[in-house]
Amino acid sequence: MPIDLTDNYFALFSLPVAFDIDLAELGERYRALQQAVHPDRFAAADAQAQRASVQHTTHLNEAYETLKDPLRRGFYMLKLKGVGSDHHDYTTADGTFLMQQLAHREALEEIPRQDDPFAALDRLRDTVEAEEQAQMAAFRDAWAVADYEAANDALTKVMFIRRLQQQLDETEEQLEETLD
Amino acid sequence: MALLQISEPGMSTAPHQRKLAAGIDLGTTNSLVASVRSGVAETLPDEQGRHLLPSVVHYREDGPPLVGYEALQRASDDPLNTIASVKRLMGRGVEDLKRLGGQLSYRIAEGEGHVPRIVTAAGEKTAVEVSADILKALRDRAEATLGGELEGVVITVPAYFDDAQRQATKDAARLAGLEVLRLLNEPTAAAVAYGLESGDEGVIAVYDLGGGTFDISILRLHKGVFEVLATGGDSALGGDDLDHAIAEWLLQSLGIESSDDHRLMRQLMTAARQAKEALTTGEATTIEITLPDGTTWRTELTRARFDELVRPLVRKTTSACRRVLRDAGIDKAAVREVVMVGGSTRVPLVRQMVGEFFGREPLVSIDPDKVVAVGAAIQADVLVGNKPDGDLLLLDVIPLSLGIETMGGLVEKIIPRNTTIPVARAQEFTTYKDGQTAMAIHVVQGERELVADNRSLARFELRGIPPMVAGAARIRVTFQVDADGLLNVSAREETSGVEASITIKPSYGLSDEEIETMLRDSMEHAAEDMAARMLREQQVEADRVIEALDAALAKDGDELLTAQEKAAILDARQQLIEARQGSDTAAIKAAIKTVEKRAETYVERRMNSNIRQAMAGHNVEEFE
Repeated sequence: MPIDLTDNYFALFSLPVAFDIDLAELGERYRALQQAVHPDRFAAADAQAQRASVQHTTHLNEAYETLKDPLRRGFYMLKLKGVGSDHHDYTTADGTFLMQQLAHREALEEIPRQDDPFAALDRLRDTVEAEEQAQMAAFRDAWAVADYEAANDALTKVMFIRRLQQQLDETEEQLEETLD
Repeated sequence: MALLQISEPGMSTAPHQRKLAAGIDLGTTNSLVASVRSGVAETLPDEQGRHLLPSVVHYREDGPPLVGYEALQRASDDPLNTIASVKRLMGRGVEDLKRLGGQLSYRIAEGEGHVPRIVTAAGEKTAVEVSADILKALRDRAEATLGGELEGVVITVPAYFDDAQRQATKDAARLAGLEVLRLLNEPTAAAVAYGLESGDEGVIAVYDLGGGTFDISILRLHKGVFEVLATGGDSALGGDDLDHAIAEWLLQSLGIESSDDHRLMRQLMTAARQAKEALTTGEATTIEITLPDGTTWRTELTRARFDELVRPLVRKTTSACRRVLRDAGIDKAAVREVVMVGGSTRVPLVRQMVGEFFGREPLVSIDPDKVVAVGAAIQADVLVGNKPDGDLLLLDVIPLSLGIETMGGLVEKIIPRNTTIPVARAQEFTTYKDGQTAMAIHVVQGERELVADNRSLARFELRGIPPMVAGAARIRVTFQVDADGLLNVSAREETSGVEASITIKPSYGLSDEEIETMLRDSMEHAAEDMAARMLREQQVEADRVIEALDAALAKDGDELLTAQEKAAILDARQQLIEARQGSDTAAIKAAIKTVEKRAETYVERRMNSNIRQAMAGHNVEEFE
């Protein structure tokens, strides 16, 4: 059977549908597939082949980007189960979690005024990273017992955390620029 | 049909004829052309043995434009008709030029139109046309040296170039009659030139300080595949700015605030460049200027003073290095090699500061002016099909995010920067009025939140939406970025399946019609030349189709096709061969279409077969 490009992304890479995948293996298979379909392989070919190549490589890139990132991978697994959609609404009903996020944001705003802002930044980063790991673990647990709503909630929280991490990066950049 | 450019070693259909291909570095200050000959990639010199072609074009009333050194000689006497650094204007609008204003020594035509036109003795010229004249000179040089017509070229562009700038480059190639195999990022080309693909695996930084642009790229090398992890830089910072820093210092020393005297300015710039070059090895240099009153003015510039003048500019580049490392998620210590590109990396302070930043000695063994063209030539040789068994494959990313304008002048990102290309993202829109049949979409490129702070790429108008109540239509707009980093947009109303037609208004580019007109204008006997050119293009495509089809059928035609399917394809092939012998352009085009239509499923099966082979040996584990 030819591999159908409308088939799921895991199948494209001959991988089982699972949250914990071997990233090195994924990367290797991605590159092997690129060798087979990339437009550079068809630069001197006819127009029809070039179009087909662009279409396949586009699909391959989308599949790889999706599976490479645990967050997108998790959402994709839920989508295969018919849970969630492409338009995430970024809401969680977990009040404790939201309070915690609020506290982190306040801490972030205070960082430039700390004695050693870089050390404070690193500490906050470590805390936030640990929280991300905790949510990923929550996703695994929920997935294992087929509680897809809880799994979706865990990933939504990771999105909050990612946004915070982005702000941490921006703050670090600003701090470095004031040093230059 | 890829059908079969992926031939295995020894699978070539015809006794393989080597195809002529070239790599072109279309630079701000200088351009080069290189090609692989007898297995070695090298830049091609002109008849006087000079490899660099100054990116300067001189236009005159009576005769073809002069390009390169000849044009450069006219720069002082006739600055208004001598166009330099035109790369800075590629894909730029009239507004952008005002920002560059002080640095331009020629006149821009007043009047309507979003594409700036330079007033010359040979009429008004766009940046695309000026670049096409440079490309033609390089094409002529390559074809004379290699002894035949070029099948295709790879043209390099700064990694930081946005869609409009890339499109402008491709348009210039089309005007120059060149088939572009790929637009390649300059830093990637440099890494290829150093043969880093055959070396160890790891992260490579390419620092490229050219005449008019600065790029920093972080590449990862893994099993012969270059992956661009991130790119950054500044498309308006380069060696010219170092010259300007010196020229400004000279003006200050002369006690002049600024001067409208184009000749004096040219002279100062030339003196500044010479001083910069002298300070590459020397500790001090003497500068002589002939003033408007005829007297000679002399001063000394020391290395220490020069370093002081340019240090802020060099620091801007190391700040960009830090940002791009963060984008790539790479620690400075993980960078295994730093490749130096661009003539300005000869400046000792640049080498020193880059070395200090990365904590290692940068690679400088290949002439930094030639390294990009050499890499482009290697890639052109692969792409044109001269190395069917080579496994060099470059994966590229989109350098700047693509987004659309939403309510309140905000940008919604559709494709974030550094996404591997080709890539496609679809976005759904709906109507807000009953019976609405058209809709406008504004596409921008950049990282900022406000539309006004980003670069406007194009406005698309969707028409032909079937009338429905407000909010009922579901218009799916697909943004496809191809392997050259160029955007294509298509739209479809989902509930009815109607394809909406799209009118593109490029913000700074030229429309297809404008390009056609330029092509016509550039030919003496417009009508016949155009017809001959169109015929030639279709014949070339017909040959490609037949060659690819034959190779494919020989390999797996019997395996992947039923006898009936194969017969239908062979029948179409025969018709194409007959049409190809005639001189009816439309008939050849139609015959190609027929082959394509009949081979459609075959192409699909072959692509899947490629995928299967790439995955061979892996157990297809259980799927859900």
